[in-house]
Amino acid sequence: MVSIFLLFLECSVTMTLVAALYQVFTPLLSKRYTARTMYYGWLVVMIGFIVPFRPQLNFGLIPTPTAIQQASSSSGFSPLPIAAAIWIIGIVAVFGYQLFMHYRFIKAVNRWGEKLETSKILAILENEQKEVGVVAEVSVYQCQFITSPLLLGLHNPKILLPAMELSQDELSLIIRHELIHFRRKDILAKFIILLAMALHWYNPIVWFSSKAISLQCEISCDGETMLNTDMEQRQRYSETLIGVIRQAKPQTALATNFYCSKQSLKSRILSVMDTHVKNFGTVLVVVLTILTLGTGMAFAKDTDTRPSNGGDSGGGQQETIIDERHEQIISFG
Amino acid sequence: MKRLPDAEFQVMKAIWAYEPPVTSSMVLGHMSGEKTWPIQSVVTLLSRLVEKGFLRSEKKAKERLYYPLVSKEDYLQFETGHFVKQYHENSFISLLSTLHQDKELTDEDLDELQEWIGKRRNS
Repeated sequence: MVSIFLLFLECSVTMTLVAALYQVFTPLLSKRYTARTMYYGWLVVMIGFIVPFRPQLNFGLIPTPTAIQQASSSSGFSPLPIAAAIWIIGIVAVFGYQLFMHYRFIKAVNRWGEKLETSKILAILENEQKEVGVVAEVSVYQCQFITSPLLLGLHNPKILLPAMELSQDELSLIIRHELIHFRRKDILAKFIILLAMALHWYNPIVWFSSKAISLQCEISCDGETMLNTDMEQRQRYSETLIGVIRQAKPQTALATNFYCSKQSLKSRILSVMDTHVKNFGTVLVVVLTILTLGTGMAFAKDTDTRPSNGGDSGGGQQETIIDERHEQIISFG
Repeated sequence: MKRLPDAEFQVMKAIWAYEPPVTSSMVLGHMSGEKTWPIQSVVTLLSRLVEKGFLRSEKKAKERLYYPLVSKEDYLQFETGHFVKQYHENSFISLLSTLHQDKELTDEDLDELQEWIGKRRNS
């Protein structure tokens, strides 16, 4: 268990640098590349967090922290098993909590959701399914307790609509947006992110990254919804986004909505109204993949090459090692 | 307030569907769509709901009349309020919770954005 803990700890440290780097360069990269590229780039980083194995070379850029080596090999009292146990408890807590909330949510949808089967809704749904190319059986429900449309389910999706007045145009746009989420299997991506958050619950960068990914996910979905449309459609779509939020307002007294946040709504609308052609940066995704795989080289694996800088100071030493590695990663990024 | 089991919830849903007072046969009539309930179990469920404080009952002539003490809206709020926060923040199922919260949008912000969209389009 301790060795698995150390494996993930190492992964957490090295991937944090990749994620931080990506976050820092996001504004710059967003100008060149589509939100879709940015989104897939993030998924590569998240997979890097949940799969700790890397191709190993016989050299490391930095020696493995001596404190950890000693702690894991010394026969006396070691804090590592305790740390590993706390780590596992954290995973179970985060993952369990999220699954529990999800379960409660599904139950509530089954209890309170009202299936919409008016000819108007069914006609819009059929039309949009054709447009997006979704053949699965999709149903539309209205739920009083949600304030923004959302999608549930991997195979037979349910589109949930809040209880609000929506025009035919607005309904079509919303349903198209949710169908595109379904076609792209964005729920699987959400699951990957959840796993990363559970495994690295102690790492704030994973939590912050999850917000960045959610935004890129929405922006890229907006982009696909607006593919091959004119300015008028784009304006209508932006107004739908604003309209949903306006109507949701009285209910948001309960909580602040992330997607109601000023910055994210602005980003989404700016992006919808922006018709500049951007690239799908395969290069960017490849670079991120190489960086992620390359983190395996950060620590020396061969104990013989490890310089014998003895000394059992814990925290201070580890800090300098992290700093060193920071430089290394930057230099080969 | 406590979360109601499914059967009791079905009864409450039937109660909410009518103008009070409601009789046990009305509840039975409303519930018949899903599966056939013996009247005796409906009566048992109703008395359990009285015990829990969801209903008030009155005996009038031969019939017992039921009045809801908890409104549909209040119960919905109780049952779903705590995850509205978590789930309404994403355009589809959000398994993520937010660490810190952004500034809330005001009506002026929305007006401003709308105005900007109009300008952007005409330029």
